[in-house]
Amino acid sequence: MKKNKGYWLILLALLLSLATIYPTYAWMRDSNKEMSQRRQSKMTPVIMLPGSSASINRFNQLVTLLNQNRKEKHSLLKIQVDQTGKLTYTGSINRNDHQPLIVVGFSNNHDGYSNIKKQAYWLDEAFYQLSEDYHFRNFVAFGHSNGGLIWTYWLEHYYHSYDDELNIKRLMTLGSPYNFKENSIKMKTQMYSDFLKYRKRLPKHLLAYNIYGGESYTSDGLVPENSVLAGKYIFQNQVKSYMAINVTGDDAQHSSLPQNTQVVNLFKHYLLDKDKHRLRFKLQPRR
Amino acid sequence: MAERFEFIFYWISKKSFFRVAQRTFITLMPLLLIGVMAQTLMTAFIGYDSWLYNISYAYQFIPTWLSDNILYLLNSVRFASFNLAGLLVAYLAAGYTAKLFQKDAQMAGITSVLTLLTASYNGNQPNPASTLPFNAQLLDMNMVLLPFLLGYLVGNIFRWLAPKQGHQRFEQLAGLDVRVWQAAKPMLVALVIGLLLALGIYLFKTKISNAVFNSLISTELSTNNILKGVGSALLITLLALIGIGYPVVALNNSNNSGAAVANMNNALIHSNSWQVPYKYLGSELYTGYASLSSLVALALIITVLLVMHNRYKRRLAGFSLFPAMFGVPTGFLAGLPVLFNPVYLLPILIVVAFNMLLSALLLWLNWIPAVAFPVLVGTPQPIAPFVATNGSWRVLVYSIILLVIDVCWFRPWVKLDMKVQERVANDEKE
Repeated sequence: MKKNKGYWLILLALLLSLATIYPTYAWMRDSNKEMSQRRQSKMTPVIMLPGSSASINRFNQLVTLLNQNRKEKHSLLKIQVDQTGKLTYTGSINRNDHQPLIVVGFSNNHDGYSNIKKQAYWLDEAFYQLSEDYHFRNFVAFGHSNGGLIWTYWLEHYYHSYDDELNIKRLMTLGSPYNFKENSIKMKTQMYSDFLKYRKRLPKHLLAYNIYGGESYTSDGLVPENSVLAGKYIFQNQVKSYMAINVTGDDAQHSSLPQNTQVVNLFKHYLLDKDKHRLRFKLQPRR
Repeated sequence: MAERFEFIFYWISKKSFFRVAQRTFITLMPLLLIGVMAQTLMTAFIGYDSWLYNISYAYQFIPTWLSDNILYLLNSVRFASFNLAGLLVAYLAAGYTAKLFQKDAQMAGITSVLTLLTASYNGNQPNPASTLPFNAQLLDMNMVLLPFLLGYLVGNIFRWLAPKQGHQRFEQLAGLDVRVWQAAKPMLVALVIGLLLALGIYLFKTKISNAVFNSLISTELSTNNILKGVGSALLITLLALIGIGYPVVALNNSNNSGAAVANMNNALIHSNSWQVPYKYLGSELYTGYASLSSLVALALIITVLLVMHNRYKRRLAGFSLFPAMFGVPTGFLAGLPVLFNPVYLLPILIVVAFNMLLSALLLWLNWIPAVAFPVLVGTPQPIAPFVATNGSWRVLVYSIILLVIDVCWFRPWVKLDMKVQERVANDEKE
C-alpha cells in the first residue's frame, strides 16, 4: 500500500461516518421520541380477557358496575382478533383516561390447551399493536376463566420481549382452572405441567390475585376449586406476592363471577385507582 | 531524552518475554482479523440490534430467515476465531519460547496446550457429552493473559529440561522417536503445573473473569467521582492491553446499571442530557470518549496509516480501520502488536486519562451535555457520542477534535516504535 492510499482511506472512513449522520440522526430522533413518550406516559390500561365461548361483550356488565358513581368514567375499547391476527376495534380510549379498560376477544374462543396457545399468540398480536399505539409503560391484566390461563401462557412465553420497555403491575385471574377439570394436583394436565416448567419466566415484581367462586364447598359449579388453587404452585415464591380469594354467596357461580359484587369491589380495590376527583377533594387543606 | 527512551524500549523489547509476545500475537493476527470482520458485520450491519440494520429499517425488507441464517454463519466464524484463541496463544507462546532457546518448539507447543486444558478443566458442566467440559472463559480471546503466561512458562521448562535441538529439514522417523521421548520430562513437569492450577481453581471456587473483575466493572459503572472513574478506566485499559479484554467487553455490552438507567430516564424525559443525575458517570465517559474500542484504537490506526513506512503494518491498519470505526479493534491490537507492547502502554494509558478528564472538564463547564441516550451497537465511533446526546452538534465537533488531538499525541510514539523496531530488526539480521 502506498502512503497516499492511507490518506484516502482515512478520508473515506471519516466521510462515510459523517455521511451516515443524517440517517442515524433521524432514526435516533424517532426512537428517542418514542421512548420518551413511553417514559412520560401515565396511562395504565387494564387489559381484560374473557373466557372460552365468551365474546368481547362479556364484561359489559362489569364495566357498567365499575363506572357506577364515578365522575371520570373509564373508557372502554374492545378488540376482536380473528384467526389471521387481524384486529377489529369497537369503542375508543379517552385521551385523558389514565386507566382505560381494554377487552381483547378472539373469534376462535374454544376451550383446550392448543386453542389457549393460539389465543396467547393472538393476544400478543393485539398487545403489540396496543403498545405501539398508546405507548403505555405500565399495565394491569385481568382474565376470567380461560382468560387467566391465556395471560399466564403469554407471561411465560411472550412478555420477555417487552419487559425492557413495559411493565405488568398486577394480574387478577377469576375462576381460572390452572389444572383444567382435574380435581387433584397429582393428576397434572399437559398445560399445568408447562405452566410449572416455565414459571421462572414470570416477572418477579408481579402482584397476583387468584379469585375463585364457591357455589358448593368444592367448586363454583363448573371449575373445581383445587384446579384454581393449583395456581399457587405456579405463582407463589416466584412473583412478588400471590393472594387467593374465595368468593361465596349470590352470583358465585362460575359464569356469574364477573358481575359478582364482591368481585367488582376486589377489581376496584386491587386493579384500579381511586376516583381522582374525590381524592383531590379529600386532599384539599381545611381552611 | 528521545534517544534515551528509544534505548529503554529497545532494551525491553530484547527481553525474551516481549520477543515471544510480539511473535505470538502477530502470528495470531490473521485469524483474529477474520473474526473481526465477522464481528463487525454482525454488530454493525446485520445483527438485529445493529446500527445499519436499524437505521435502514432493514427489518422491513430483509426476511428474518435470511438474516437468521447469515447471523448463524457469521457467529460460527466469530466463535471459531475468538473463543478458543487461548489454545493457539498457549501453543505459539511455548513454541516461540522453545525456539528462541533452540529447544523442541512443537513438543513445547503441544505440552502447553495440554497444560492449559488441564488447568481449565471444569467437570461441573451439566452435560459434558454435548458440551466440552472446559472453562470456556479461560480459553477465550478475552483471557489470553493466562494462556500466554502458561505458554511462556512451558517454553522455559523446555529451555531448562529439554536437550538442544538443531534445525532439521524433514527429520527421519527414528530421529522423531528420540525427539518425542526427550520431551517426556518437561511434559510431566508442565502437567504437574497444570494440575496444581486446576486444583487451585477448583478448591478456591474461583469464577475466573466474572468474580475477579466484577467489583472493578461495577465501580466504573456506578461512580460519579471523576478520579475513581479515571482510575478504574486506567486499570481496565491496562488489563485489556495485557490480554484480559473481559472488563472492556462487559462495559461495552451492559449499560443497565442503575446510574446509567437513571441518566437515560432523565434524558428521555427532558429530551436532552444537560441535567442528568450522574453527570460524570465513569462508564459513560470511558465508553463514549476514552475506551480502546471507541476513539483510542481508531486514532492509533489513523496515526499508523499516516506515519509508518512498513507496508505490512500499513496494510493491517487499512484492514482494521473500518472495523475499528465500528468499535471492533481486536485484530489491530494483536497485529501491530499493541498487546504486550511496552512502547504503546504508556501513551495509551495517558490518552485514556486525558480524554476522560477533558470530557469531564467540558461537562463541568457546561460546554457539552452528558452521554446518556441509548446508542445502537456498531454506530460509527466518531458520531456515537453525538447520538448518545440526542444530536448535540457541539459533541460531534468535540469528538472529532478529540480524535485529531489523539492522533497528534500518538505521532511521536509511533515514530519511536518504528525506530525501536528498526534497531531490533538490525540486531536480528546480524
